[in-house]
Amino acid sequence: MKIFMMKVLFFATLLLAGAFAIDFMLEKGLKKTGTGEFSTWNAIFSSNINADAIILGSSRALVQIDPEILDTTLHVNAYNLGMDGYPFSMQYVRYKIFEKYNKKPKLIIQNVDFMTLFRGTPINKVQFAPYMHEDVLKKELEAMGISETERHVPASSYYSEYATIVKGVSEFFNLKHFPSERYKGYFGQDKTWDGVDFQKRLAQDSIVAEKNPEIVNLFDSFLKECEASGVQMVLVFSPQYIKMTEFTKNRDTEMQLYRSFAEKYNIQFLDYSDDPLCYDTTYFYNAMHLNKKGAELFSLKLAKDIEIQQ
Amino acid sequence: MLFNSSEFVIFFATLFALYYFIFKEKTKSQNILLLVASYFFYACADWKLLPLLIAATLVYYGLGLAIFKTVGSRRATTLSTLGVVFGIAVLGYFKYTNFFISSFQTLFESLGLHTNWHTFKIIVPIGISFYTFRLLSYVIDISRGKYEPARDLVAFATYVAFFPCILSGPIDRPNTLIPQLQKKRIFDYALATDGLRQILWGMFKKMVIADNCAAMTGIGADYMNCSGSTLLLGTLLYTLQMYADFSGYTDMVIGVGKLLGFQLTKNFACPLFAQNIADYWRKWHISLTSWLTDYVFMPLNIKWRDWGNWGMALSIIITFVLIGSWHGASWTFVIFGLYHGLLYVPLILSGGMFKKTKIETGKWGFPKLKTLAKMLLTFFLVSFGLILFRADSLTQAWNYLGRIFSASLFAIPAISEMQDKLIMSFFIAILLLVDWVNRDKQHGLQMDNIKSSVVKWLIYFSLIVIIWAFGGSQERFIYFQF
Repeated sequence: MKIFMMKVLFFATLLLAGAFAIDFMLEKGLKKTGTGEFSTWNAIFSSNINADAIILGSSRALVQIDPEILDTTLHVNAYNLGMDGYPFSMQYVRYKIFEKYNKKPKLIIQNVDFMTLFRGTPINKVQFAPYMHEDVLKKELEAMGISETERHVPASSYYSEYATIVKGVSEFFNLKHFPSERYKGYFGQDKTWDGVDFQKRLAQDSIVAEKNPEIVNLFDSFLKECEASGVQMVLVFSPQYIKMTEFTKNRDTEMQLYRSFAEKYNIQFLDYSDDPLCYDTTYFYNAMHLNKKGAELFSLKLAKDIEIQQ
Repeated sequence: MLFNSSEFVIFFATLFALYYFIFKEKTKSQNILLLVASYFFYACADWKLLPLLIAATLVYYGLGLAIFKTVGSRRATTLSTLGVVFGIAVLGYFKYTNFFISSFQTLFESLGLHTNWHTFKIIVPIGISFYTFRLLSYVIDISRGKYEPARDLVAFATYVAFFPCILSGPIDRPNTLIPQLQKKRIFDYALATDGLRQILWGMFKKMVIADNCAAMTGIGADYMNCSGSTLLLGTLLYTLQMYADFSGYTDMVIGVGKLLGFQLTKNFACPLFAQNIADYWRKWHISLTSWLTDYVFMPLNIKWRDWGNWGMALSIIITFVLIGSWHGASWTFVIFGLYHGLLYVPLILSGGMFKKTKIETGKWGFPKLKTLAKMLLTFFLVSFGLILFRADSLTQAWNYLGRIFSASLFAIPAISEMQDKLIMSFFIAILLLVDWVNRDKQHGLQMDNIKSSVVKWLIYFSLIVIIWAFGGSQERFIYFQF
């Protein structure tokens, strides 16, 4: 029994030491990489974003608003902080971390949609692994249901993520550098319309946009915070395929909520849910996202509308 | 509480420490501890139905004693029949009530008779199919005079609720587990280390093979949009997933048992290398097959022995319809059983049913072409049966089959994320190779031939790294639903 216990303990110690070492190695390696979401996180943490305009939102901000076009039209330095698959609560966390490590922006373009104010389940969780020391991030992940093990056991957040592990190790040993596929956070998609996803959605009766009251309050306090600190805020409902909008049962109520926020804080709400772009699938790659061609057209339109209002 | 979860590690580490350090060599105390742990484990899965498990245990404990007192008499037969009927009635109520209601309703409506029946909201207790079979074999064997009932209620209750096996088996017979519960258990180093190895191998099968296959086989409602070749690939992969999931789970169960000093019933013997359907069922879910062989097939076969091969065929078909139905209340399971029963008929008629198949190997230790062809044929037959097993309805299974055998069978299968699939194929190849090499052993990681500790530890660490880096999204064990 003694020998068995000693061996088990020795094995566990080696395993734990290995886990710490791998965790350290991956953290260091991934903090150097430019791949995927790491590129934006690394830019934020390294205080490299010297932007006076930032774009916040989900994937619909990430792939639809091109900062280069905003730069040219508005004569600003814009950066896209859009996060694929995350509602406002996590977008806010990203903003708070951005604010901590970078200079305060003058303008925030907040993309909103029918999924902004609900609390989802975390996707692509590995993107947070190297930055788990940030309390605000840890807290939000906890609220989203990420397990204790993932938050506290070294290397466990990389479970099942062999591609990320390979990238992290390669970066750590300087074997290969993975450059960013994004430009100032923007991730334009050079794709054409694929109706499969839309057909799947159509198989449902309708979509009901859900809201989490906590997140609605958070959104409200964020707007209040921006007002108090003198940051100009623009709310944007960027284009989505019109049939998708029509398919959302409670769209009018949701839109009204954003309008009331705009009214309350006296900010712009640019609603493109019925824009001519929304009627043409040439500009989309799926029902929720514009492709690069559509995104460029939309970004120009958005920039001009903001310019006019300014 | 999944065996591969951190909660289970904490639960088991606590139990292990108490079991060997506090209650060391005190059999009764160890059994009480095991019973409490088993009830706690069960309550974590389904606390509301724990009283049913306890009540069933008490009823069958009393029945066992009562039957034994009058063994050989009519009273004993009546009591054991009562036990069987009661067990089947409880199982039937929870599992099959709604199935019968809706089936009769459909039947009456097809005859033009209007019914106003409605189904009930019944929660099926987790593991009921497994512990009911344990209880049934207990009373049947006592009435047959095979052994004496357990006098020790704690040992008997632990046998019924033994936490490693309560959710998905193996279905240990009383004479396998109760004697082990009654004797003194001291820590066995060789058994415990072998148990740890078996757990690790089970985790590899479940987390790397089964959970990754699940991502590729989950075609769901969208199957009519898939090509025949994609569906065929999914069908074949599902067989691998099912094997890796269930045998992986069983490896973990047996490994946990070994750590506590128990030898549980072997449930798998490399079924993917079976050369015919009888061989397959001798290697797949052995504890269920042997249970139904002993208590259903053998009595029927004896009863109908005068009918020769046709009597045997009928016995086998009935047994397999029961095996199918045991899995769940649906016509798909009934037809799944019937399909397997019918696959036996050519074997029975050719006299090959009881023939033990020998694996013929060639120069390099791999199967000969003829043997390989038989294995592949069996694999295909089993895979097609599993279409019924996982279909929501017979119509869906039929449409699914129809879609496979359409012109699109010759299209290139739609495979996304090719890199993932190639890695997956590599691990499947490892699984098959390890299973092949160790086909006569208890499990894939039985390392009798490796003497070097360094090599052994390297294998352990490599497997852990593989599980960590390549494990799939943690899916529920398939057999938990039964």
